[in-house]
Amino acid sequence: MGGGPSRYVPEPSLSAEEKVAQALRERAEWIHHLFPIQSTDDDVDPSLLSSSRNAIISASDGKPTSTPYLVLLPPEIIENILSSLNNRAIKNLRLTCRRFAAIAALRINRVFLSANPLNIQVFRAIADHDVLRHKIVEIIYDDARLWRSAVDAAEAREPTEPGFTWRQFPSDMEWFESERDENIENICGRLGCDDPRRPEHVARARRARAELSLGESWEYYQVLLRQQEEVITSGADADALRYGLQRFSSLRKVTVTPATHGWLFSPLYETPMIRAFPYGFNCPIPRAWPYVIDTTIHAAPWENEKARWRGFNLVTKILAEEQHNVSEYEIDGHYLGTGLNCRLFDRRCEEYDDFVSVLRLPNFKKLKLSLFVDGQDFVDWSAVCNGLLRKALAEATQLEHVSIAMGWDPDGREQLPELRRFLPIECWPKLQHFELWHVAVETAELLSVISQLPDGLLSLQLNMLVISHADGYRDLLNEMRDKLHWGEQRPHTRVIMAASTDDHTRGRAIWVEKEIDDFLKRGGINPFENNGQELFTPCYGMGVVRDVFDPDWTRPWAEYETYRKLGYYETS
Amino acid sequence: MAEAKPASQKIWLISNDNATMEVDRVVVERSMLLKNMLEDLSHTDITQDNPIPIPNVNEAVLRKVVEWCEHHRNDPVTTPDDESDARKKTTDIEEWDQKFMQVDQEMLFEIILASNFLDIKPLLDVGCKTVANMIKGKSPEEIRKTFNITNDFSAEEEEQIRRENEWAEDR
Repeated sequence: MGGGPSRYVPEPSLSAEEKVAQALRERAEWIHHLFPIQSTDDDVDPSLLSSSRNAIISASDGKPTSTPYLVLLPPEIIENILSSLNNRAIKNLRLTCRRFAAIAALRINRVFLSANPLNIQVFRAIADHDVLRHKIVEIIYDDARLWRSAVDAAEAREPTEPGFTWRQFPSDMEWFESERDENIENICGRLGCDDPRRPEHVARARRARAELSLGESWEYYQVLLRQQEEVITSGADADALRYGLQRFSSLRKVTVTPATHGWLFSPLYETPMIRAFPYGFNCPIPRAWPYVIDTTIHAAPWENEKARWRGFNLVTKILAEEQHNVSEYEIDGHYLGTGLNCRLFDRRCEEYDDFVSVLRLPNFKKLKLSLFVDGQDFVDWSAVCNGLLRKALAEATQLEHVSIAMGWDPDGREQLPELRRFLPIECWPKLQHFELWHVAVETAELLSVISQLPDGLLSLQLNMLVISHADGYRDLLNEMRDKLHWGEQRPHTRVIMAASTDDHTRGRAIWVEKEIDDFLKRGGINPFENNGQELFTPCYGMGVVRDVFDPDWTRPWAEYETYRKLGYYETS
Repeated sequence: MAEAKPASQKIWLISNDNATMEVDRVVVERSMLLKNMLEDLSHTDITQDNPIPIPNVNEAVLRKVVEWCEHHRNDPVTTPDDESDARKKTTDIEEWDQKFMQVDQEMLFEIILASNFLDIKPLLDVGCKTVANMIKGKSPEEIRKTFNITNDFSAEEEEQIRRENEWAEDR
């Protein structure tokens, strides 16, 4: 907030039209100031751009040929060429002629569903396609319903106070506008000190400069909202899901997430709905589930709030009722500080029973469970530790892969959930991969729990933990080496720890693996050896910084000067 | 079996237009086809007067292929594991290979076909990546122009392909 153009205090002497014109001018200047022009191509929709600027220029490039050599190649060589192309290029190749339309197959192995008619239409089209339907292994249910209004958005951030708003907006339109500004500022925030000329940033800047106007964006948004309400009323997404479960013969995984939209102009998933957005479309980023920003907001009682998890409820119910081969279920807050409301586990209810039915599926192998637990540290973690969550998890005795993530704001309270009261480790003899994300732990208890993980464990991830002990990861690693004799006892288990970066940008973390392996098995130094940096942060030079929203965003963990030398930061 | 294979051992190849060329055995062995063939032969079987015939490959192309093998004579042999890593959707090509591939389209495709026939996987991959780079970033019309492809779609067919394309992500 705060950095946007000052259009709320227009000059009193201006006419209404002049005010609008002035506001538009100011906004354009603001955006151009934030995203300075790089080259003349930068303002152009890349799909309209004809030159292949990034392609390697070879002498043969571009020169017409009289013989259609490419068409004459045998299929196995065409396959090799296709293996180097992404779908974007394959789509264009398919549009050249019948032969390539037939042999250049689209790479589709996952489909999207949400309360949106376009997503449903594409989902059904693939389910009806006799080749593609057999290739689908994953359904991603996008539970990020669009905010209906300023109040709707505010309530998700403060569910215990209905009608509460962080900031009073005279109209929804003004809330909409303010969220648009925040989105733009957020792109700048995520850019940080990076050189804006880096290719991954140029595409976003290009879109920002071509931002669709407030009026047009608002109108488009209203259409999406109406469509969303129609789907919710008709249950067309639920019907499609039932149909998909019958049709996708290779389906094994279902994911429910509110993180689909990622950040402005860089969604986590390109759903058909998102791909169809007009170029430069900017609207409030929907998350639907409550998420932690910077204050405690308390997970509210399930019965009052469960409609916010509509997607989870619908998907879980259908998975519990229908016949299918799904063996992996991810409820994925994607490190946004959100997840399934843990108050679901206060007492038995319909949704609890459905969830247990899914966990009981024969061959159920993988569970990722992001839980929204904010405020539980004030109430002795009652919803997490009362035994019902544990009882549910204990039903999944075939699990090979378990990931538990917790979304909450640890504000210095010392109350910790007892791990054993919600983790039935002894019920998972086949466990191969185990991850805890942002769980509050006491070192001694954590050590005792991980020492009981089965011998077949292949990876252990202890990410962004809130460790009671002041020396956090450093002592945890020392104890794993000295007390658990990890190197000798578990020579084949990968140990990974992700720690927060110093700017706490959401979705970014420092992933340490190789150095931990060296420490536990080969007498290397402890990567978290306190060298004056923040606790919980590894030493510079250790680990890799990644962004879970952007697979291309990756770099070593280093200090400012090093980033400049490596060309990540602007050098001027 | 245990015959000596000094680095300097020579092999002679003959192209389909009757050009004979002398090549170091280690260079020839970049071709899995020829390597396997040579293992079944005594080293005296191949002489200047009795070269290995390479059907389908003319002199100009064979010289290019040999030039590539010369440059890459000491490259480590890739295992299938490395391969799957290296072959992920990257189209990075090392600089020497990029320059090597700056040839006209006929030659480029001849090199690809020859490396396929001779079973020189790394050369085949470089060739295919070069073609992939010529496709990337181009509109359908530009691809047609570059490769002389005739648009044989009916309007309906093209519309159907467009519709299907909309189903897939761009990644």
